[in-house]
Amino acid sequence: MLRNVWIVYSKELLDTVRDRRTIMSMIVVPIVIFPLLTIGFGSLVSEMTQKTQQEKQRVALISREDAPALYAVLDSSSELELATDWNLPVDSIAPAILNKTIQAAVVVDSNFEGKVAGFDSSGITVYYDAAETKSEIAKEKLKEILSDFEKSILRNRLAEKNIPDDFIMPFRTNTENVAPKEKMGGFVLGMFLPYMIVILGMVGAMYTAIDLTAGEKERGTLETILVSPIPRWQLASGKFLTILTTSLVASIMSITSLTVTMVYGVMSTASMGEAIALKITPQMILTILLLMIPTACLFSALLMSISIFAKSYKEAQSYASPLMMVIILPALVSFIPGVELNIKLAFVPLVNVCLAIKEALLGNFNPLYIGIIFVSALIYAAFAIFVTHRIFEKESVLFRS
Amino acid sequence: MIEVHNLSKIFEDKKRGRVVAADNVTFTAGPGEIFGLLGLNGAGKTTVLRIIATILKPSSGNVRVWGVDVVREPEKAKANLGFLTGETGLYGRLTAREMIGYFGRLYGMPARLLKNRTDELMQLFNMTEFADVRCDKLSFGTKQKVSIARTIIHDPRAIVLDEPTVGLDVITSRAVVDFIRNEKRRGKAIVFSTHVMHEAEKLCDKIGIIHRGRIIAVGTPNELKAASGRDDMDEAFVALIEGDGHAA
Repeated sequence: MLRNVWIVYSKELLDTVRDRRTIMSMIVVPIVIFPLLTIGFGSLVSEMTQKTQQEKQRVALISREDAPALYAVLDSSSELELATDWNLPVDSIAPAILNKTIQAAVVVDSNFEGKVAGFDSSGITVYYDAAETKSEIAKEKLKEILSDFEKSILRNRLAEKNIPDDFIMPFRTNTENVAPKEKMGGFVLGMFLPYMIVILGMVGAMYTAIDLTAGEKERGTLETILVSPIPRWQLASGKFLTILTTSLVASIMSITSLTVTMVYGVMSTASMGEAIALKITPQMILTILLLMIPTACLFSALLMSISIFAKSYKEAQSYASPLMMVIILPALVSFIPGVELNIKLAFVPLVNVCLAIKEALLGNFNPLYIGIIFVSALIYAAFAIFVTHRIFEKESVLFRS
Repeated sequence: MIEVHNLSKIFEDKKRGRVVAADNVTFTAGPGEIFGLLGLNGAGKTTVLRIIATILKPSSGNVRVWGVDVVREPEKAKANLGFLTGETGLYGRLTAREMIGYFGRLYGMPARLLKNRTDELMQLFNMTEFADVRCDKLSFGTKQKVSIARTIIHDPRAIVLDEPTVGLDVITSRAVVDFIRNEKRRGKAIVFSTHVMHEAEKLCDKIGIIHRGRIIAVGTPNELKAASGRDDMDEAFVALIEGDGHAA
């Protein structure tokens, strides 16, 4: 019995590793392309944000005659470019911002600096376009400059009255991050890793699942193999184990590659390297591997039962692609802040595994939840295997034409 | 012995409704006997052969392969059966030897026996030089040879061949015919389907003409020619089928 499963398994594995497409999705994509894309995209976003921040946005000051001091401050700012030639009526500000002649405008109330000098209060309005990143950045920079400007006025006022600065500052608030560097590392990795495991577990299983089922129909080998004297459930099991193997290999490849990239790539950069370190304990590795198995089982069984139903490779692919969309959503749960594993979520497939892996990377191991996840996922997987086995028995599905 | 008794197969087709693919089919291929199933495309040949090979389940009737009922004990029946399908599917990324070996192992053959048998078949079909070539690189004829070797790797006592010579060149076709004769001499029970009349005439001890799922005539080639009043097998076949059409 096990001998037959082994015969099928070893043959399918040999067949699979000779297939360039599977090698692509099992090894090349997880090791090279996916981490590259994920990290590449991340660094592209941060680089673009940085670049936009460094750019000088053009701003205008309206009624500059009422605020010569502020004008001087803005004009000397290294972060903004002041449109010195600009002094237009208030109603032309919005169009100018919308057509991007300027990114933001500061309008002071009449007799602004006169009022300020007379210990009175006045007002400033900042105009900007919230749907435009550059304008938004200009607004943020202006708020900071104006806040500094306000503080300098305040200090002058206090000095004039001979009051120490501390008078208006009864206390200061400091925040201190007590998370060890390793926990921060686990936190960052905990966002990406579950997502990678789920996506790559799926991608890794997909081609093999299709090749071993619909592919077998398309090549006309299904009939041949059904004539051999091995029971169909053993045939299904051998195929299932092959798909499971490619799924697991893809997942392991991807997390290894991601972890290595994180350790030597992202974390070695000066800014993050100080605050983040990564400490992978054997317990973490064991937990992650343990949690990967039910996920991979579920995908392998799902993909196998879907693609055995298909007549051809193409048809199977069109069934599997929507499934990919469906699983991405629960996989993204590790990115949602505040969602924690609890007894209810421990029963939700994929979500439970993602959260448990996240927790494990933070050093939290809850044996009860891990137990529930493992058992429930195995039940889902067993169900999917059962369905596949039933389909293998159905001639209407096997010989659809 | 391959005994087919009152075999019927009804498909429920969404578009065509109830399709009777095999209707009360009965025939026997004894030891050392070749039974030929002749029919037009879609007459029900493949359905009958697939039921013998346990791939399809009959709606009614039964099939026994050397006394073993194919529905009740499919695994046991299959151990004694070699089936060459119409679609000669091979695993393209396996070599000819690996392909044959895979099936040998599935039939539970011990490693040494399997190796000897593979070498023997490779020599028989004159394909030793292709033994370690991947199947998708082989020519159509060589592929068919690999398929046949795969079918009989376990030296089955009953052999079912669905159009074994279709699309083959003359040389390969003759090799297949020689192989069938040889197996007959070794006492195998053989059922094969074809629409090449002269091939059936040369090889078969008995021929069953199947039309619209029913066997409309059974007999030796000479008996069939006599029954139809023609002395050419092609003519006899057409006459019998057309006669059936008029009757229905």
